[in-house]
Amino acid sequence: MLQQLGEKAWQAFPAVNVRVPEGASVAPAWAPGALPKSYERTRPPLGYPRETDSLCPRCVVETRKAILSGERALSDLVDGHLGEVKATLYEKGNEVWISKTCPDHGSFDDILSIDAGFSRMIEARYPGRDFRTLGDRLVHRHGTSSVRYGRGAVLTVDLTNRCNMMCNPCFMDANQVGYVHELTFEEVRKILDDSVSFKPRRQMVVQYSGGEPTMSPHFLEACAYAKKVGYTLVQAATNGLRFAIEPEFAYQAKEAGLDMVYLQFDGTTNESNRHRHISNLFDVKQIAIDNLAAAGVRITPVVTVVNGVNNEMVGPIFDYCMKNHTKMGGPAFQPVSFTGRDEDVTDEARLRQRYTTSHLAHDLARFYGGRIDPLRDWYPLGSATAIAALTDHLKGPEAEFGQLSCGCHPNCGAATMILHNRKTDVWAPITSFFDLDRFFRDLDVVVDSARGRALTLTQLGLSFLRNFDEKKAPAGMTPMGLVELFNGKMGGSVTGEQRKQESDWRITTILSMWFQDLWNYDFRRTEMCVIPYGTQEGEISFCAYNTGVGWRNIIEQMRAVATTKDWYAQRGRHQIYAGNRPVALPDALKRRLPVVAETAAGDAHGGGCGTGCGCSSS
Amino acid sequence: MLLYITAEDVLGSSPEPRGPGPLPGVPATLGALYDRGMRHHARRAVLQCAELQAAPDWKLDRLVIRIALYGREKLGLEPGTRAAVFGRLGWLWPAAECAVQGFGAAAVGIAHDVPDDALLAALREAAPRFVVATDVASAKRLLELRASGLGPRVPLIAADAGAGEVLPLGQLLELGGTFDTAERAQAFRLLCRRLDPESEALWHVSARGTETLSHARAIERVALRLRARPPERGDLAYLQPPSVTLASRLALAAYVGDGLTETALGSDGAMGEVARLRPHALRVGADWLEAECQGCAPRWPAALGRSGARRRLQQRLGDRLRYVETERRVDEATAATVAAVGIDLVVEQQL
Repeated sequence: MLQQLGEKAWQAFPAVNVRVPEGASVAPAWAPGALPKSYERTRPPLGYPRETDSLCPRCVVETRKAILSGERALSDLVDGHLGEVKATLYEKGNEVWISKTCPDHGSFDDILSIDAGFSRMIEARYPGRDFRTLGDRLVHRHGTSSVRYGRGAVLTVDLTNRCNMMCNPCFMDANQVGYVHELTFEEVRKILDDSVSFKPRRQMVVQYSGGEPTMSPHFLEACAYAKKVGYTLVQAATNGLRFAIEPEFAYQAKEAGLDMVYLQFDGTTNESNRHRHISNLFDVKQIAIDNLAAAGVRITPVVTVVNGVNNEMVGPIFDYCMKNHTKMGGPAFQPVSFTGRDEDVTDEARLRQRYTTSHLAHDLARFYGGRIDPLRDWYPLGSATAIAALTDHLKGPEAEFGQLSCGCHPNCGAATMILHNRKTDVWAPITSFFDLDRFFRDLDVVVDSARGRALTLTQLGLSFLRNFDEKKAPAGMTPMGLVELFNGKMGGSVTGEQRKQESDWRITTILSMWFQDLWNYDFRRTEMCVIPYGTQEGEISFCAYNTGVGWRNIIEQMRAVATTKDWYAQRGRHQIYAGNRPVALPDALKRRLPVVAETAAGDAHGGGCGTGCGCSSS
Repeated sequence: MLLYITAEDVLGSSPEPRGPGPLPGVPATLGALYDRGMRHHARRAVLQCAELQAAPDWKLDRLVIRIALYGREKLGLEPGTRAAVFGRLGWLWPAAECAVQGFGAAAVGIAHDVPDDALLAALREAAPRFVVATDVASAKRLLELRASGLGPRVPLIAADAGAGEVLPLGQLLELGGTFDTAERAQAFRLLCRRLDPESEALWHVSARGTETLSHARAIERVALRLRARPPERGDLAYLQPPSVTLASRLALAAYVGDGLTETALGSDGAMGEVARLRPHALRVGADWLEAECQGCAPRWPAALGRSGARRRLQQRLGDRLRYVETERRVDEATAATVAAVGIDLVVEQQL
């Protein structure tokens, strides 16, 4: 009934929009110009087959070595096209593959999707790019790897390449590269200051990463400074060990400004975490989760998924998140990217272990008996551009910052939204009862017409009504209830205030963030990156930094503060948990301070730091 | 979709923060008191001063841990040893003192106005593993004594290290920050909690001589303070001592450890800030209090004069003052003024 009423009322607006010309889009100070209408947004080439710019996995390694050895200048990388080759994305049966041929090293093929229909659908739901960046010459200066579009979503800052684990996979090869790269606090400050120096004015989320960022002596100060600069959400990508071993650190991090951790989380048993080489890692994670939740730090479990290693855990992990919803949000799955210490993977192992967003969608569909439908329920991360546009329109020209808008390439990631009742544990994908495709199209109409606030909200309300199917909705969920939930997610933009959430319902998400590696690299993706790294050499696309020609290796070596050996000699060793040994849990911690080795004497014995901590001598 | 990047928390619900709060009772040692203050606190900042501005508990705690770890790894600080803190009562004083005591060593506090011979005698007797100078003048004085061949050549740490054989605090904290891992920090906290109450906690060296206290004796006096003047949420104590005294050190330990009180470390003469900060407690020189109270005495007898006196005094000292501590008795007029407006006056000998 309500749906029909909404439908009827909505139909009145096209008549109005025909007679009354569109209003002018607002031009907020944070943006490089007026907010684009939906039809003004540009799109990268999509569909299959298509050609794109990629990299030769072998040339890249050679180029990187040449730059690091001084045989080639860094400017060659910025001004040239080293290692670049054309690649073709095409359908093979119901799969999507990438193929490229290097004149020197031959052909390279890899799978991009096990379901071409799924991938076509994801690309079809992509609404278009965000602004082109403006005034960013100081931070985006990396040649073909430069970020060219968007306000970004999360600025990642690696505080240190030191880590207290020895994982495999590790996309930065922590502890093994032979040098220490660690930012000073002044460098952190400069990176954050620079990040708000251009338009569109910066994403207001910063994520400290590493290595293990909590090992940086500046971690807490860096959290506090990010808040001071104006970042609204301060995150850390962490393995959680510090928060498990030192509960006070969780409280202190919260006080300093940490809002959320991206918690490395590979499975819900110790066995499924075994590839991290700590025998009781899941027990440790649970302590970390308890400590962080007690301190009020939000938790997003981040799961690197490797086919044949832990892909069977994706369903149980989401179940775990639902059961522990008072402590954590939905999971962010990251299909494996063969980089760092995994760059030497054999072709056979790579194809066997390759995992994509389409794999994830189908694994979850299987686990939940089809309740999460790959074709109905998954959307590209960039589809939220419509919601960001609405929020920006409602906030008007006076807004200091734009709404966060994750306008990345549709191949970079996808997500599904789940409505979950905290009390009854009933859940359903929102798209099972709400026509999100049409809702996003409605939002484009609403924002493009650029009416005043009252009319905008009226149209928005009608759109909610007409797209909400009460017959299919879970018992107890109403259109107004959904509006309230969306309003919360939009920072209160709809009602003008963010009310304390009292509903039994919550929206949780399942994310897939598929980072590139040398075999599936696509420059059309890197130029739209929304999660760039903030470095001493400017802001670099996430994948260009970790993969691509390997900006990480180049910058970290250029800016290394010491060789690992010298670091240990001068500053002592830190504890590394490895060798399939357990982490001593808090009540079993030693009663004496672990010794800091003053010399490299431990090396002679090959026994690590001598504290019995399990660190290796290498 | 959008949800993982929206400001609210796109990534699902999270529990309400369970904020720590103060715990009843007083623990058995200064180390445990400090540890508890850091873990269970409800205040925006533990210290306020020009150098650190409003320093939250985590900042002080990391300072303490890093000084302790550096002291242990590089300067030979061990349980049962001593380290000295010399100078005025600035922000570095509580950081150094808590680091030393938390580690099971004794903190030898030496006031900046101690004569040279007493200073040298104290350093000889205490044989500290290192000396922390809390201000530039004190560091310079020690260096001059050392240059003249009188001062012992123990490592000297100072925040504003000039030329000479001084270990800059920044350098110490940089390396201390690297030492500051979860395991070592947690081990330090465990040591704090498990100190022997009968072990030596502090020496206090002043012009009047040297006094030593065990943790048990020190905590007795802290407990007396806390029972006599229990802290309340929102309390702010203003310390402007002309010289460090044993009482001011214990007051500072109590404020840091009670989990509620913010402590503003003022400087000589910067009294405009008192009215601005609106402290609940003042610890000031008697001369200063006498000067501030001049002209504030009730001008009418009994109750008639109190409101005027209160207004005038509040303009100078803020409207939340519950008690004032001084190191000696003040003149009768001042005592009468303070008493008339209902503020407790506590003289150091009574502490």
